[in-house]
Amino acid sequence: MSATGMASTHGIAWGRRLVIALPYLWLLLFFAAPFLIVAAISLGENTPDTVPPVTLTGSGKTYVQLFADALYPAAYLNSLRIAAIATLATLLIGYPMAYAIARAPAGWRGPLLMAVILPFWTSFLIRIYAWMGILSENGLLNQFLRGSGLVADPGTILGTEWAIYLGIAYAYLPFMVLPLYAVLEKLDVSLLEAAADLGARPWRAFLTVTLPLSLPGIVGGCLLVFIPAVGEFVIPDLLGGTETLMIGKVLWDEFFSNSDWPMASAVAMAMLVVLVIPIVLFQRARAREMARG
Amino acid sequence: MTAAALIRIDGVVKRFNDVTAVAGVDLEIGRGELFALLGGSGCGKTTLLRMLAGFETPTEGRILIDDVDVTHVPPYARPVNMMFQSYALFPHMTVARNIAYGLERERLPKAEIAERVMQALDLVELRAHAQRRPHQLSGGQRQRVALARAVVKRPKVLLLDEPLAALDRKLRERTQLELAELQQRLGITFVMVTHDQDEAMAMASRIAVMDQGRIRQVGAPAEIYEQPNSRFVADFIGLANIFEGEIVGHADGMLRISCDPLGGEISAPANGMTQAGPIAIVIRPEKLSLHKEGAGAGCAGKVRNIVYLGDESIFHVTLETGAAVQITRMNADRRDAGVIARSDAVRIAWAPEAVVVMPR
Amino acid sequence: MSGRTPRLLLAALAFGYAFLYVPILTLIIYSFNESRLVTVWGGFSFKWWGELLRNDTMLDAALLSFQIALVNACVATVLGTMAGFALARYPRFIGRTAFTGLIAAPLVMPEVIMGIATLLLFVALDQLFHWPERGFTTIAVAHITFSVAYVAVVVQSRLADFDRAVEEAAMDLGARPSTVFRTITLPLIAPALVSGWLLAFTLSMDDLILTQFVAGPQSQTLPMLIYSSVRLGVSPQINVLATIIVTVVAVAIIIAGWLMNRTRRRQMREAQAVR
Repeated sequence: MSATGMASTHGIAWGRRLVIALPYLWLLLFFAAPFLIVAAISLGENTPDTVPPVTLTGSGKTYVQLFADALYPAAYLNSLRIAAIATLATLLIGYPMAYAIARAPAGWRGPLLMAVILPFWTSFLIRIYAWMGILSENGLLNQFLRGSGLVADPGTILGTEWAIYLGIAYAYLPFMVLPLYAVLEKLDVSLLEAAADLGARPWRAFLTVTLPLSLPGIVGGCLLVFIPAVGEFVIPDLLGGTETLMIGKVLWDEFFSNSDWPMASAVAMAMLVVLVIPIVLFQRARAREMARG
Repeated sequence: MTAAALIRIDGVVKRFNDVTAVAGVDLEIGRGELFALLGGSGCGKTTLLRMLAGFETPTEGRILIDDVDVTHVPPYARPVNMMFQSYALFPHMTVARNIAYGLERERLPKAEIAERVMQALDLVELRAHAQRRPHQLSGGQRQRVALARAVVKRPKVLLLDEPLAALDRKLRERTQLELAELQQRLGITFVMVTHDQDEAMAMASRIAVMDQGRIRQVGAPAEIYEQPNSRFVADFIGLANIFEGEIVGHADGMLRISCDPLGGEISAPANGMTQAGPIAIVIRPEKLSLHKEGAGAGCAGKVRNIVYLGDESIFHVTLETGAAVQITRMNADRRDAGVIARSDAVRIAWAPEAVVVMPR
Repeated sequence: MSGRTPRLLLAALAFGYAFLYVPILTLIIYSFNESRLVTVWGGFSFKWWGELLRNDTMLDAALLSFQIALVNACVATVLGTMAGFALARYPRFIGRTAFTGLIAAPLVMPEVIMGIATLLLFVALDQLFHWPERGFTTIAVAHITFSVAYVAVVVQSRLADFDRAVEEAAMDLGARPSTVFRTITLPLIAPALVSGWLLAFTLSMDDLILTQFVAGPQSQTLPMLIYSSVRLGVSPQINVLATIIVTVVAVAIIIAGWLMNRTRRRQMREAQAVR
């Protein structure tokens, strides 16, 4: 066994360890470890007179309250429902777009895709703010409806759940289109030709060939939209009404308005439990994608 | 161990998890040889080549190059260079920089690097393309850059992974000759992997036929074709008529073999096998002669099909015993023998020397 | 394919792009509005542009955001490249599954959860070590944590795309692993590093929720300022800011696209010259 061989093998091993360890430790410390602290705090009690306003008691009173007060379960269910509807809306807008881009001439695909992603590079807040100006009572949409004489007395969308669906679909559209495009672009056109050759009309070919084969993209895109949408704060806060109950907003208020850290932590832990299945699904899907390479 | 052996592979085994890619290979490759590892996909030939290059470490056994154990030497410290199947040219560097890359790693003086790069470019006739990027070259030009980049380091061994697979057929045949000539001129030992038997036959001084992680036979191309040591090799290389039979006696170096498909007892050279018992025989299709039905030795049969290939034709004949036989005939002598058509009654004959006996 | 299908697809595309761009266009148009009321057109004016440029609080916030984004992008690109490399190149190491989880989770984790979790960590650290002080450092660390995941994904997919044999060839020609990385891998994944850096920069410039949790009372980033201003209702100055951001991003992307196009066309010309 040659000496240089041994020495360099050690060199590789150390370089490799460093490459893995540095980001690993960073994420363990600043992403994973905080959840343990959240778990600990969620079992504590709110003591407004101390700094920080928490006493670690390990009582679990917060969780009792979480289930006893109808507000919290309602907020969770509401968030899941709103996120699900908004995800479906995003899919319905995003799928035809992704499909059309994937079928466009090769030279057009890059620019078209870029045009979908471009708004994402501008400020999220400002894009949501744009909808406030459009959807308000005297906003551009109602001005247009009244001016064109289509609707004499349109209601106000701003402050309703409709505005939230719109906002989520708008803000998260690129996250839906990208994974869908990735699978649709790889889809072999000759499969559709084979289906047509075997007697399938275009719609049937789509339903029996394209749609099933694009399922990984649909799952990926929906998870990318659904999971963050459940905990969304800015969109319900700015576009939703005061009575809109979403869990992200509840957490925010517990923390910033009530300064109740244990309750906010318990809300976060419960949200994590609700989301753990979709998050694991998402991670699995990514791992599969990586394995396919 | 022969004195001339440059590469010695001793009992090498490579397992990936549960899969055994190489199942125990012993092999010696001499200095200056053009050696081919031939086999179907998954036979272990590429894994063996990658172990020679140092990209894989054997699970068992060892590899010596020039009497130095390199089993655990990393790729960058081995006196071996490789030409990759995909060529693996560096896309962000010019042709000249690609070729200079290996010399720069040796920290040679700039002037020497420049000179050797020029020599290598001349060798592959690409001096005019020195400043091009790989994506601006044709497939054949890329192949030559990959070759120049590998030989410029003057390795003791050049490894070639399917060197011609990416070229079209015409270019491939021309390049086969060029590569073999270059090997003679440079005197570097070449070890190449290929799944293409024609390529191996045309280029190699010796061939190792591999199957399921093992070497089935090693020898010169003619030896492997004329004297296959097993049904696998006989079947893998070229067309072969293989029948089962039984040794019933021997005398004067000739065997008497009872072979029902060929209609009874036939004789064949003993070839070291004299033990009575079941064997298989092979007769190459060009060693069978085909005659219109008439008197004489051989087996009677009927032409079932004729495959016309231009220079030659393949006759599929069903013998009266029910056995199927293939016979090739050069089309130059079609007139002499008289035209044989489909459904004609024919007779096939062969010399005893044409029969090769193998274990069953 | 029947003639109807492309038309249907075109309609879907047109609707999609209108949905994406009309709101942004309205923002830009109304940034030139004379009226204070954002949705009532009162004539063309640069009034709000002047107001914004005299707004020191806004400029300070923008500067702070810019500085944090710069630090975040650089650190996240280094850590994210390492992580992406580990994912793409090391198929087996202890804790790999957990590692892929640590990379995937920040991509989808609701920000309110990450926000409260990261803040509570900083509070705990402060109790134990009297460090870090909340402000620039805590915001940057929090941003780096989720940016690493994005950079890692970009780098990993680029690494997965290219022919491993190229790296093997370099090693075969005598390059040690560190040299292979410097002379082959790094130049080839450079475009991914640039995209990753820009992505991290943008995410940081844009982040509100995480920042709101971990920022101290002294520091206010641009999104925090926009949020507090927007909560009070629409403000023409925000329209101006939006116009500036959209213009900067659009110009940057057009320049990038033009540069890429030029390089490609030059390469194509060179390729034609060969024949």
